[in-house]
Amino acid sequence: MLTTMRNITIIASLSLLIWGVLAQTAWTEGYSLPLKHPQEQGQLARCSECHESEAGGFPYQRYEHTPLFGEDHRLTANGSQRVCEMCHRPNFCSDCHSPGAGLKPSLKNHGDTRRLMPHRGDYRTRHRIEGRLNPVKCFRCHGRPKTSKTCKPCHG
Amino acid sequence: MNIRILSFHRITLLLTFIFVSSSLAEPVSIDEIEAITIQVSAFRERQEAENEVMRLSASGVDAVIRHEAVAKKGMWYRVYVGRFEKAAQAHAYAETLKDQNIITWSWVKTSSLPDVTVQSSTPPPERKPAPVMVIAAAQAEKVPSPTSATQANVELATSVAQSTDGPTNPPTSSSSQWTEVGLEKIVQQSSGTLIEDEPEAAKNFEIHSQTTLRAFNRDTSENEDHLVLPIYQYLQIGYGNSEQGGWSMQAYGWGRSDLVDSAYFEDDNDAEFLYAYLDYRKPYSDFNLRIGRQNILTGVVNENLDGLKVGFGLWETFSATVFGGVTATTEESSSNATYGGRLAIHPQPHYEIGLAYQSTDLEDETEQKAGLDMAFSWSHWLIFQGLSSYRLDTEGWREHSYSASLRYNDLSLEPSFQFFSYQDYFDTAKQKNTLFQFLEDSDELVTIIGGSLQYQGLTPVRVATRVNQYTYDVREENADYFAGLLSVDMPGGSQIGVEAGRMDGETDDNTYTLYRAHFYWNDPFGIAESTFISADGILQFYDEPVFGKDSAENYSISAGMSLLDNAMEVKLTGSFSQDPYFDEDVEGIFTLLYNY
Repeated sequence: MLTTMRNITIIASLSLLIWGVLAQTAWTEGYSLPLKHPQEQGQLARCSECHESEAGGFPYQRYEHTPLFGEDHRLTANGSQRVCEMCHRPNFCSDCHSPGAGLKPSLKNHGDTRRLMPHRGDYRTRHRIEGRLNPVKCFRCHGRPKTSKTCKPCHG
Repeated sequence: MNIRILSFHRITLLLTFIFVSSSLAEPVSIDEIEAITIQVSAFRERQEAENEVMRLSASGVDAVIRHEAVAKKGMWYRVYVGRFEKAAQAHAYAETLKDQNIITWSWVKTSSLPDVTVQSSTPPPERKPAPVMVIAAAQAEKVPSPTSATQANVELATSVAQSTDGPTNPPTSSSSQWTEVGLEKIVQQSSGTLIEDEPEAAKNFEIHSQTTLRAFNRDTSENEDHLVLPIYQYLQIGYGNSEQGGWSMQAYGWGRSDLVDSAYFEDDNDAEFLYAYLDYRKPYSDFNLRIGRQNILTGVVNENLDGLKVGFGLWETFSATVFGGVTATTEESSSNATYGGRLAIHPQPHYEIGLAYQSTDLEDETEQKAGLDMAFSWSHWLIFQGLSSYRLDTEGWREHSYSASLRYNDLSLEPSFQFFSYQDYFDTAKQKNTLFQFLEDSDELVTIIGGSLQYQGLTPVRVATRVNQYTYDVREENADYFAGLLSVDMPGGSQIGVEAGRMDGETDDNTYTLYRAHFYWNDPFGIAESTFISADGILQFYDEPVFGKDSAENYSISAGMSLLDNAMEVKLTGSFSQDPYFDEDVEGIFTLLYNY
């Protein structure tokens, strides 16, 4: 079963790759974006201040940086790397989400109190509670051998 | 070798710059002075900035354009309005322009502007005829001297859209001038003062450096309460044209050294390459080729790998991504081959469904997951997005995460649903030897239902609340989380905010309350736009004491300033905390940021 799935995936992937390369020579896609947003953005991007919703078919409202966007951006950012990079520098996500980023985000960006960031305050104690209630949230960043090293001094 | 190539590159740019500058018609020079002004917009394209100046002129507001390098964002044509003696006057003027719907965004700052009379803060008359033509002619006559090609700031436009009397006193005959000249000439002459900061090609090479020094005391394997003095160096290098596309290179990594060799970091890595890749892309195309260490974030796949990723679009309706390589998240001795891809269907840009798959070869097994992700938006009032991830090898759902966003004007209601199966989520051989490994045997199923309510209609006040309910299948202990925040966004990027949250478990050991107050004060005391002071205070209370303490407090204060025309920034933070782990913990952090 697994071998069959794997072979199907390899064939499908290679087919898509070939088709994709060929397609680039034949078509210019309509559902596509400029590499950079033509106008500079402020601290919080509010697309709807300038764009009519879905003008040109693009779902601007999905990318609004609402007050809780810092906590809720996972599903929006997923697969939207191209949109994010129109305003943020390439791999901006890696500032916080890289495995083994060195400093936690609130230390790396110390002084910027405007941004919502995990681990502020006494997170050493709070993580005992939040880790019990939703370990998935911890796992996303610390669930890899390299990043879990920060856990080992206490957890072994 | 690299230095010689760089020098050749710079000489070529300089010659090009001289040629372009000298070929412009009747260049003129204008003296500049530092002044408080309002940036109202910024554009990648000069023509768009010129159009903005025309639009403002038609509303009786004169503007100038500067072509400036923006940290981390490349070159922009920024449009400035007015010159003021005090920042407060500029803020008041900006608010007036917003009230009249002439501008929607503003940034009061100090910038180099043509040496003309300081702007008054009196609001402009509504929709008065544009004064551009008359003012432009007068200014051009006033500064007839030609520009030297080697001059740092080069005048490219032929006119100045800055009134010597401010917008409150425009020439009365300007409306007839509009009629006489014609559109083409207006576009040419109303383009405002365009000032080049540096050749545009300079944006091809970027360096972002962050040096951070921390100082604190910790118990180590060798000493108690030992000084720890780590210095971190982050370096991001980029080469390529981020607007035009083509081949580019990006690399990012960091290293750390403990200046007092305290042994506090003896079990940690001292350096890491976060990513380093070659990238090919082009504007208005979904085609993307990326080779090297990179993060793959597509559909249900979130992987760091050393390898290849190709993305492309098909017939405007489909797009696909395929990738392959070895995982970069594990130790080198146990890197695993991985490959996969995502196929997305989007008959309309606001309807998208994706199917993703990833297979990772392990020593004696293959880990496979597949999943569905989707995003739909209907008109401006409803957005629905989410994903489901399935483990093919364990034959169980890892996760369902979905959220909706219902919007009415500035009100946003965002219900959410999450489900996780610990067995299928944490049973991953890639992550063996992590502390999460034991969770896979718990067979726990957790469901998190909740959402948030956010309101941004009370400008500059923003409010938000969040509620989550955690339900468990095995341990039969639920928990609720409530939180709220309120922030006031001041002009110029300053902010004051408060937060409160309570995690309310069924047992005391899963219950805490948190309060936070913070501010960020940009340009304190009107010293300079590039300075800030910020502070943060957090109080936490635990229903069940931890190590005999039932509360914690953390305070920090920071200050920073930008130097060298925002190319450099220095920040200093001091913090003090008391919590169950430390009676007193004092830490200092200093950071030097440099952007080229």
